[in-house]
This record gives sequence, C-alpha cells and structure tokens, in this order.
Amino acid sequence: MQVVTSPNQKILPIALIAIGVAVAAQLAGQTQKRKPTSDGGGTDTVAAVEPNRGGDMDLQAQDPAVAKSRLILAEGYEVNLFASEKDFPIGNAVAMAIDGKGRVWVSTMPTYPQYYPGRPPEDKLVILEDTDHDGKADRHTVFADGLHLAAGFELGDGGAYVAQQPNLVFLRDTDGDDVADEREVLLHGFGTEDSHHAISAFTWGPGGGLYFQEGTFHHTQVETPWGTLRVENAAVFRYEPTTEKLSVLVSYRFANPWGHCFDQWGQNFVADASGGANYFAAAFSGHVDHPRKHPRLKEFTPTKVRPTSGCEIVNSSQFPEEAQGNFLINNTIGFHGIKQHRIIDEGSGFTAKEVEPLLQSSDINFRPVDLEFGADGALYVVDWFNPLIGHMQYSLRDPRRDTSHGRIWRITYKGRPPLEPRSTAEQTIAELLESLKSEERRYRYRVRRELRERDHAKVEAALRKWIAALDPAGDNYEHHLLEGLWLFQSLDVVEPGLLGKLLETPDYRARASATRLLRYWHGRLEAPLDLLRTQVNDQHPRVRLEAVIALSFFKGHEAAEIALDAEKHEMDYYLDYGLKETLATLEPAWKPLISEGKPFAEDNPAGLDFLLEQISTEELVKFAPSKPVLQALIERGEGDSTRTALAGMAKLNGTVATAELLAAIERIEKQAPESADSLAAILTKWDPAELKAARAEIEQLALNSGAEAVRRGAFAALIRADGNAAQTWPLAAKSGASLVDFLEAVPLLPDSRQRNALYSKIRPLLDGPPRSLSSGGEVLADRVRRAAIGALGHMEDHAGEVFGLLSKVVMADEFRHDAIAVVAALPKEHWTSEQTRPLIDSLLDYASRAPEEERNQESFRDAVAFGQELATLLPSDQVEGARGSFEDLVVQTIRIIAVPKELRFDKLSFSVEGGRPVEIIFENPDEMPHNLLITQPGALKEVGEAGDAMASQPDAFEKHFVPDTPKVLWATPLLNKGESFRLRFMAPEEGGGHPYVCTFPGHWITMNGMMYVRPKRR
Amino acid sequence: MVPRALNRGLTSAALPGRLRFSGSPAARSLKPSVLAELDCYNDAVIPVEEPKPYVTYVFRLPIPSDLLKRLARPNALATLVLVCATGAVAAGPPPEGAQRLRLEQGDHVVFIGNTFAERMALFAHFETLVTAVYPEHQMAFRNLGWSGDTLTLQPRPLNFGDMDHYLERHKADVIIACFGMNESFEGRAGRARFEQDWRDFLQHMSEERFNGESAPRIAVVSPIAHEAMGGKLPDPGPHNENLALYTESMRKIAAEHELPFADLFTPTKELVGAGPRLTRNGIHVTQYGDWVAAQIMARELGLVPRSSEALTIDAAQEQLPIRFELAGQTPLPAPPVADEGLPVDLRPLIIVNGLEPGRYVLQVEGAPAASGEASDWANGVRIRRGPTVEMVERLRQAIIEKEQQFFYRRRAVNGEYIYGRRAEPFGVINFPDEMKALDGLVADLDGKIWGLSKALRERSYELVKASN
Repeated sequence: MQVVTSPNQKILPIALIAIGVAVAAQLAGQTQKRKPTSDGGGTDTVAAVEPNRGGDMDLQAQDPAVAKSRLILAEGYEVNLFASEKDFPIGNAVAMAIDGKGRVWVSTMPTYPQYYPGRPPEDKLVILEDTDHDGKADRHTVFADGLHLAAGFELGDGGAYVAQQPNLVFLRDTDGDDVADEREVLLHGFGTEDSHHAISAFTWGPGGGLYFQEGTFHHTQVETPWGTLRVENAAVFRYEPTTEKLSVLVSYRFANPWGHCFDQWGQNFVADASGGANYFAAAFSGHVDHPRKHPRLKEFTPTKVRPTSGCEIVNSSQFPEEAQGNFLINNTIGFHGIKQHRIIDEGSGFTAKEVEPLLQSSDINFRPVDLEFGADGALYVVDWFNPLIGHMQYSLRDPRRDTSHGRIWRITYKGRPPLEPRSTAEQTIAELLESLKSEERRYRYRVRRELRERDHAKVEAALRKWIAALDPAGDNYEHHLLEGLWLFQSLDVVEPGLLGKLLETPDYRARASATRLLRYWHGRLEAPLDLLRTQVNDQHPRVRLEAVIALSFFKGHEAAEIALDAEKHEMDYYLDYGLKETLATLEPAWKPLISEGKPFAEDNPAGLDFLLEQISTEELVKFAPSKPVLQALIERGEGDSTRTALAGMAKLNGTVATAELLAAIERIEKQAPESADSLAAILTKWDPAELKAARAEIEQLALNSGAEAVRRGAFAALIRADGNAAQTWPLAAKSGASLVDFLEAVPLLPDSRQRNALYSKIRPLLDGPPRSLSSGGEVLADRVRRAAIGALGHMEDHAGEVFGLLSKVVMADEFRHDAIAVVAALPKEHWTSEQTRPLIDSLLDYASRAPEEERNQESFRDAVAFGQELATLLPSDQVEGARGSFEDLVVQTIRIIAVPKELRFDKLSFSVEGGRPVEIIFENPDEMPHNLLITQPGALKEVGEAGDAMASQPDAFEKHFVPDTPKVLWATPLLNKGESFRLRFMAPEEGGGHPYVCTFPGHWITMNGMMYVRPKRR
Repeated sequence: MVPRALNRGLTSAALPGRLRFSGSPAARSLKPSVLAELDCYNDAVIPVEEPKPYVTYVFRLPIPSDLLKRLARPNALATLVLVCATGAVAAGPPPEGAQRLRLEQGDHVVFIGNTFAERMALFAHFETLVTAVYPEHQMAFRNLGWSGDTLTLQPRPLNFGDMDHYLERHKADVIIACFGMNESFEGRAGRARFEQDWRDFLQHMSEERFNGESAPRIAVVSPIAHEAMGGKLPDPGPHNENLALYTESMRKIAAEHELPFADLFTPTKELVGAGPRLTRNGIHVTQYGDWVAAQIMARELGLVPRSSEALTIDAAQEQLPIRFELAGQTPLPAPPVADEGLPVDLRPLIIVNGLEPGRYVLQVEGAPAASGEASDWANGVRIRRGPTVEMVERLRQAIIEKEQQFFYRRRAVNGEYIYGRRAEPFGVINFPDEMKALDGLVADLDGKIWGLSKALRERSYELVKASN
C-alpha cells in the first residue's frame, strides 16, 4: 500500500500509529463477529486494511498533471489547473467564493473530520489571484488561519461569513490588507452531530438573504434579537445580516443538502447529496411551525447519480448558447464529475432533462465539491481530492483520509475568449447600479454584494434615481425593475410602489419573484392579503404557487381562504403540495371554523372540498354537521360515519336518507366512478324497506350506472328489497353484462337463503350464458362463466355439489385458478375423497409445467397450497410424498433490507435448499443506492473491488455497478430509495457459501453477507 | 486512540507551576498563540522571594466589623499596609434579603443557561475576576451554556445525555444559572410557567447530590437588557418590558429560595446609550459587554465589593515606600474600548490621604502601574495598567484557552460517531481516548490557571515618590 503523504509530518506519525491500532483492533473484532461472511480475513497491520477498492490505492493523480490527464470534457470544452496544493496552501480545499475583484477564495479543512486533541486546527481561508489573467492563480493571501472545519463560507459586508461548528463566525478585515483581524461569533447553536452535515453550501439570495444549510441528525437552536429559532433534522437557513433575522427557508428531512443555486429570476434549487435528489425550492419553502417538517417532495431532475456536492446554473456568455440555463451538479462517488441537466419550465415548477455530462474524471480520487462561474466567465471547480470519503466504511480517523491535496480546476468553452473581468470594487454606486443590467448572473451577484457594502442611504437614493431613469421600452426592463426590488429588499427598505408594479407586470417570472417578497414584507404592507388574493388567482401557475406559499407566513383563517382560491384554477403537483402544506400550517386558524360549522370559503366549493380532504374522518365526525362536512363524510363512504351523515343531511334537506344516498351515488359515479365502491357497499346493506321504496331508482342504477360497483351493489339491493330474485333475475337476464353484474352481486347478499335459492339458476351458467344472450361473444361468455364460478362459492347448502362441479373445472385448464380460489375456500368436509388423487395429479402436472415467471404469482402459490392441503386427504403413506412433490415446486423467498444509514444488509446470512427456486426480495429504504449481487464462493473481495473499479467507467450507473465477471452469478439493479426488486434464480445443486454483496463503490466492505446452500433433501 | 506518550503528557496531575505539558507532543503542536502564552505559564512559577516584611490578611466576605475597624487603622507594628475591602465598607450592607454566593476551596463551578452563558467562554471576564479574587480556592469552572436553552427545553444530540448527566459528570458544587432570555419571548403569558419551571428546577436541584455529598449551591442570573441597536434591528422596547417582568420573576424566586441573585437586566438597561455598546445584536454581549456584565455579576453575587472606595491608605501613618498586597479585589484586563469614565468599573481604586505634595508612582516590582500627583492620590487612582494588569490578561487568555479545549470536549463535533448511532464500529475505538486526552488537557489548564492567579495574588504594590 502506498502511504498517503501529508505535509503534517510532525503530527502524522502520532495519528498513523493511533489509527493503525484502532483500525487493526476494529478489523480483528469484525472478523470475529462476522466470520461466516468474511472471506477476506482480518490481519494485524495497517497495510492489510483495504481502502476504497482493495489493494493499493491508485494515488498517481496526487500529481496534478496525472489528474488533469484523467479529466474528460464534453465536446468543445477544455479544462486547466487554476491552482493546486503544489503552489498554494489549499490542501483539503472544500468551498469557494469569488470576490468583486474576481479573486477566488477557497476554504480548506485539513482538520476534518474534527479537532484532534492538542493538535491546533489549521483550516484556512485563502485568496487566490490571477494577476496576469492567464487562467492560473499566481498569488495567494491567507485571509484566515487556525479555523476549525470551515465547511462553508460566503463573502460580504467587508469580510467573510464562515461556518465554525456550531457557530457562524464573521471574519473582518479592518485595515484592507486581506488578512482578517477580527473574528466575531454571529450565531451560536447550529447542530454538529455529523460534521459533514453542518452548515455549508453558503450562497446569497438576490434579496440580501444569506443562505446555508444543514443535514440530518442535527439539533439546532439559535437565539436572535427577534426570537429563538429551533429546528431538527435538516434545514435551509436564511440569515439577513442587515436585520439579524434568521429563518428557515426549507424544513425538510434532507440527508445532507450540499447544493443551492438561483436562476436569473430568483427561483432556487436545492440539492441533497446523499440520495442525489434535486429539488425545486419554492414548493417546500412555506412556513412550518417547529417541529413539523415538509413531507417528501418529488425531484425536479431525473436522478441517477449520487452523492452530489454543489450545484450551479449556467449563465455565462463564455459558455455556448445551448448550455445557457443548464443545471450543473457535482457528483463524487461512482460518477466523478459534473452532470448537466436542461431545466424545463413546466407549470408552477420545473422539470429537467439530462444532457451530456460537462466533466468526468476516470480518477476516483477526484471529488468535485463546489463550483461557481468566475469573473472571466469560466467555471471554477473545487476538487477535494480524496481517496477516502465514506463515514461508515472507514474510521473518521483513518489516516488515508487525505488532508494535503486540493485543486481548483477551470473550465472554459474553446474558441470563446474569456470575459473581461470587471471589478466591482472600483465602481461608483451609480456604476454598480448600471452593472445590474448585465446578463451575467454571477457578475450581478457580485455587484449586489458590493452594493451591500456601500452606504445604505446613498445606495437607496441612487437606486430610486436609477429606477426612475429606466426605459420601459428597453430590453429586460422588467428584470431591471426586479433587480431594483431585490436591492430594496437587501437594504430592508419596503417599497410598495415598485412591488405593486412588479406584481402585475406582464412577465410571469417577475410576478412570481415579486410575489415571493410578500412573505417577507407582508407585515409592513397595507392590505397584503388583498395583494395575495390577486396573485393566487394569477393566470400563471408559478405566481399562484408563490402566493399560496406566501400565505403560510400569515396567521388567520382569511389567509387559508385565499390560498384555497388556487383550487379555482388548474392545479398541478407543486400547487397541490404547496396548498396542502400552507393549509397544514394555517390549520389552527381555519379548523375551528369548520369544526364549529361557521361559514368558510363558501364561494369556493372546490377549495372547500380540497380542505376537507385534509381532515381525517375520525376528526370530521366530531365537527358540527354543516352541509360541506356532511357531504364530505357521505362521499367517503366509510360505513357508520357515512350513514350518520346521510341521516344528518336528510334532516338538513327535509328528505330521507335513502334519497341522499342515491343522490350521493349519482354525484360520485359521474365525478369519480372508481370511488363509488364504498357507497355502493352501503347501498347493498341498506334497510330493505327503504330500498323497496326507492326500487325504481335502484333499478336504473343496476342497469345503467357507469360504475361497476354501483350496478353490482344495486342488484344486491334489489334482491334484498324483494326478499328474493324473482323480479330481478329476468331483469338481469336481459343482457350478458347485467348477468355478470347480477352474478357478482350474489356474494354481497348477507342472507344465505337468498343466495342458495339461486343455485339452480346459476349452475347451468358454468357452461356459458343462455343462447338468448349469445350476442356478447366469447369475452362476455367467459365473464359469465367466471362470475358463475365465483357465485357458486357462496352457496353453502350446495357446497358438496359445488366441490364436485368445480373440481372438474380445476382439472380442465381454462378457469383453473378461478375454480381453485372457490374450492379451496369450501369447508374441508365437502372435499370428496374420490376426486383427491386425480386433482392432485392434475395440480402437480400443472405446477411442474408452469413457467418460471408464473411461479411467484399468487395464483400459483394458491394452487400449490391447495394441492398440499388436498394431500392430507390421501392414505397416510402417501401424504408426505405428495406434499414433498409440491414443496419442491415452491419458491424459497428471502426478504433482505438495506439498513438505512448503516451500510449493511439486515441479514448477515440465510440458507436455502439447493436445486430449488429462490426469490430474494431486496428492498432499499436507505438514502443511498444499493444493489445485491450473489457471487461464486470466495469471490466477495474480487467482486467488491471490481465494483469499486467501475467508478471510473462512464456508464457505471447505467450498468448498476454490476461488474462484468463470471464470478457474479445473479444481481439486482441499483435500487434507489424506496425501490425493491425480486431476484429469482435456481439455487445451485451443490452445497456451499455464496457471498452476497452491494457493489456500489465503497459499500462492499461492510455491506455483505452469506447465502448458505444446503444439499437437497431428496 | 492516543499514544501513551501523549496521554502521559496530558493527564498528569495539574498543579500550579511550570507548564505541565511542555515537551509533550500536545505542547509541541499547540498553536502559535498558545505557544506565545507559554511565557505566561512560566510566569506562574512563583519566584522564591525574600521573606516579606509585611502582613497580608486574606479573608472571606463578609468581613467581621471588628476586623474592619482594625483594617481602617493599620497595625502600627506592621510596616506595610494591607488594603483589602468589601462592599460592606463603602456601599454599606448588602440590599436587604440579598444572598451572597458561597464559594469554597476546590469547588466545581458550573455555568448553565443560554447564549449569555455560552458567550462567557469567549471572553471569560467573570471567571477571570473570580479566579483572581479567590486564587487559593483552586476552583474548576465548566461552562455548560448552550445557545437557545431554557430551563425546560434543551434539545441535544441523540444519546448526548441531559443536563443532570453533565452536572453529575462535573460534580457540580456550584451552579450559576443564566436563563430567561429565550423564555422572555413568550411574553406575559409565559411568565407563570417560567416561575413554575424555576420552582421545579430548584426543587429538583435540592434533591440532587452531584458532588456526592451536598445539593448544589445555585446562583440565579437574569438576562441582560435588550440594547437598542438602531438600523434595521428591532426596537427593544416591548422585549425589555418582558425582560423586566422575567427578571422580577427570577428575583422573586431567588428570594423565596434564599438564593443569590444577579440582576443584570436593571443595571445594563441603565447603561444603554451611556457608553460603548454592550452587545453585537441587542442581546448578545460583545467583549466589552462581557467585561461589564462580569463585574455586575460578581458584585451582585457578593463575590467582590460593591465598589472599591475602601482602598484607603493614610500616608501620615506610613513611611514611603508604602507596600501592600491586594486581596478581595483584583485588577482587570483592560476593557476593549476607550478606557475613560466607564460607567461600571470595579478595578481597584487606591486612595492615599496625607501625601506630601509631589508626584507618586505605584509600582509592581519596579514597573509602574499608576501614577499621579498627591492630590490625584487623595481623590483615588485606579490600577489600569502595569504588570498585574498584564498578568490578569494572561490569566484570562489561559482561561479562554481552557474554555476552548473544554468546548472541543463538551461540544465535540461528530457526536454521532462518539456516542450516537454511528459510534459502532470505529468511533467506540477512536474517541474514548481522545475524549480522555481532552479531559487531561483541560485539567492541566486548570492547574495553569491556578498558578497564574496565585502569582497575581502574590504580587505586591509599592507606592513611591517619583524621582523627578
């Protein structure tokens, strides 16, 4: 093994010895504990500890030239090394920001994963400068040293905001020498439970909010002069240094959200590293009261790779036209590079289509962790360069964690000159305002940051002049106005005039962004709810979404009423999600009104329906019986609550309950026939006398309803109304379709006499419908026969005859499974023994011929189970043999689960019988993707390493990290969170141990187990 | 796992004196700022001095009245004057019902509470002051403050353990409880609950024996006032009304339980606008705010005199040079603001009556600490500079370093791998020894601090006539 070299020679030996012993001890322990599954074996030296892909680590790319040679760019792009640890103190570079002079600031954290007792932290903030504009850094200044885990930072306000767990610290340079001389703790109390989940991904929003985000496990509580903010298990924070307000933009169960970027119009996207999910932020940015979290939101990009770290949107004219607006996202395991997605505007939100990756390295130490467009229009990428990044596979103190390398790569589009860097520092306020007209988004970003540092009163005055002088007919007028509005927001100056203008401007993107401001400014605006009522009824869904979300920041039922106006327009996924969330937050305001039967959203039945859907039946039955509440209860068709509501509604309307029921059925079968089942079931069980009174209407339903369940239920209701089928049978026999409905209504009859009475009518139908109904053809004939088989199963008085009749059907091929379902359910005393042997033979014959794909189906299992049950009726000396014959045909099913967050399977081993079919149901509830491969005996390490090695292949994700080797016998695809897969195969005949393993890079070491094959019994 | 050598270096019994871990791997790798402080640690090695021809009285507050009389009229046999004071002398008896916080030799003093408590670790003026006034006590201070904490709401990492667990671990003899800031945002409606929470908390504390012997002695510390910052920060008016109510609640509860109570709210409210800013955002102290709050706290808890007017020497009864030591008071680190007419200032004020006209210099081992004309001395001169001020600043830096190391221990990041759901399989091997090493480092620094405070206490002052 090649030892990772480190500049910290003075401390490394200590750490190495310490960790070497630790790891060796660990290995020894693990070997004992997991003996059955380990075919590698632990040894007692550090050298034997396998890194991320066994054997020697390939660290040739410690030489930046080698690293560069391993980078593959999309067509037309090129890359150069801007800076590396060779020339600058940027070992363990982790985050980046670009200042107004175009200089690249880098934070490093060699102290990661945490302080080692007695060894002072030496994390840094380093300024890299390219003074001769050749695309390479040639000067550096250490702005700050001795930091502890500067996992994220951002520049602004005359210094740098830096993560210093558990605090947010401000480093200020008071004398302009580019060295921080003041350190102030701004905010205390962010979570630190997992240091790589701590606040990071810093970015300014366009309106003067400084955003940063933390991941799961963390408990955060921060005091501000406005109150105390508490949040748990991940959030995106928004901090306004101007006002000292700290708020949560998104309270969501992220794993570790390491990406956050804004588009030209201020819409933002949040990337969660662990599962690789990318989210459209507006939808889940509504207010929630701690500790509630927003529920799962869908991703806006198709996600194939993970874990990600850092995202950016292309708005640089150094890049080609076709890339503009694309979403870039770094990925650090499996695929080492930058994925690229085209963002597609869709309804209230966005979707995306993956296009060619911008960059990929074949070196798996390449870990792109941050990226940003620079002043020259090039894309700068931070490479954390590290062979080891896993937290569960390796000790946090594993000495192979690299602390000494770090690179900044620079990507440009060939043939386009770099942009002329424009420093913001020398510009006057008026010039800076003009610079806000630039189409280079990152330039405007730096200009806004510069404006924050100027005298606020002067900026405000100049801004008013600038806005007044804008040409309404000029290009991008609305965007310029929006920049003006954002600057007012950044200055914390409420400007209702400009806001009002943008709320009704023609471009929906500007309207949407202006609407977002209402959530921040509403307390200082006149009649903000009136403004939101307009926005929530806007013609564009994104504006409506922003309005719905803004309303979650209000208190009071009126806000909920206004939010429900969204239901008056076309809804989509994000609107539905956002509205539900806003209603959940505002629940204390609206729920008492509903529960007390007070007027609410009366002009908005669709909205009210939506609202009532959010309330459980258990709760709803306790509410005052207003019409909307009763109607909701009726339409749910949940038995007693519905019957009570029908009575209540009848009382309110001066009608009878039956009439209300029929009215409800008619209403529902038109709106949503598929949800009429439950009301139909209620109809079936209704009081016969009441049914009789409404016979004519029920007949209509039986013959003409569009909902199958309603026709069936109505037939049953008719029979019950009459006490027999005398009148109903002729009605049903008029058409094949009605006959099927009738037959299917039979099992619904609670009175067995009524069912048994139909035996003689139904038995002949086993041979097909009466000739008079032949017009329906084969399909209808089959349906009639099938329905007849089903109906016969409900005639207890004729069970013996039915068993005989249907045994024949079982032995014939056509309706075998329908018949088995019925006869297997018949009481065993009706199973006539003379048919046992032929039935068993028939079933064995069928089962042994059944194709592989059929053997896992429920119907197959039922057939085999029936056969085994039948075997018990055989003479005692034949029972075992017959049962065993069936047993051999049964698939052995094993369920294996990837344990969330622990990088292991829930089973260390299982055993199967050789030569018999096996089905592994593999489920992945973990954030990380996993696969499950079964290998040849002794091939765990070889296959695991082969999986690791796939990380440098361009299509590893597409191949699901299943190595192309005969050592792999069977494999599942790579499963993302929430997915499951059934892996079926025939167990080998010979006994032995077959390892099973996840081959996603880095997982195999802990995520493996052993399948023991025992010899076949016979 | 920490190598043996490192462990040895870190866990040796800590006593005042030469830097314990100099030469150990830990010391070699200490950051430059700490290395620079090694000098100060070496200072802690008390030079063997000639027998001193003067007497020093060291006593506990309150001072018996007969002793006070004797002090006011120094023993004619002593060639040197002891100057020692209590609040009782100048400020009269403490306010009716006020309790003094009793501190004893070897006490483990624990701070709990919100960001105010947590920020004390950044600036450490209170701990410096108390350590300097009670050097012989050799107390261990541990700051368990946690941003956002209330008496009843203290979210912690999984498996971290609750407050009792830590009070037990640190064998708390004394608990200085700083609550009320977060609670006060609940306004009037939350006040009854706040009072009940205090009663429940105190009842619970009275049943605990964290030190194995006795219930902890508790001091109640109110929040500071919300300072008006202007700009876009909130108008503190409404919040201050609530803070006043919550402070009154704390005063009432403390009185009910006969506990020492430090009202920081009332004095800091009066200070707003009367001098440099106390806070960075209205509610969290700056270094200066901590300098001020520390003095108010020490005074309100009866740990130092309520003022320092009593340091009076009658030159007519002495011969120059007049030599004395300070006990019961201490110089303080220089405030980080213009040191002129500060509204709260408990630094020793020396009044010398009866000097012949001329210029006099107060010296510490030959270096000037204050100077003035005879008339200035008659009005009183404060000790604001000189060797003892430098020593007390070094003491403060040592305390800050100790707080930092303790913070790395108590608030160790990656708790999930130390005691949480990811401790297995590696954390359980790596971290126990690292945590032990940190405990050792902190204990060593305690020793360093005691040495520094003892040396400071033993410095003598000498009033001489200026040569010209």
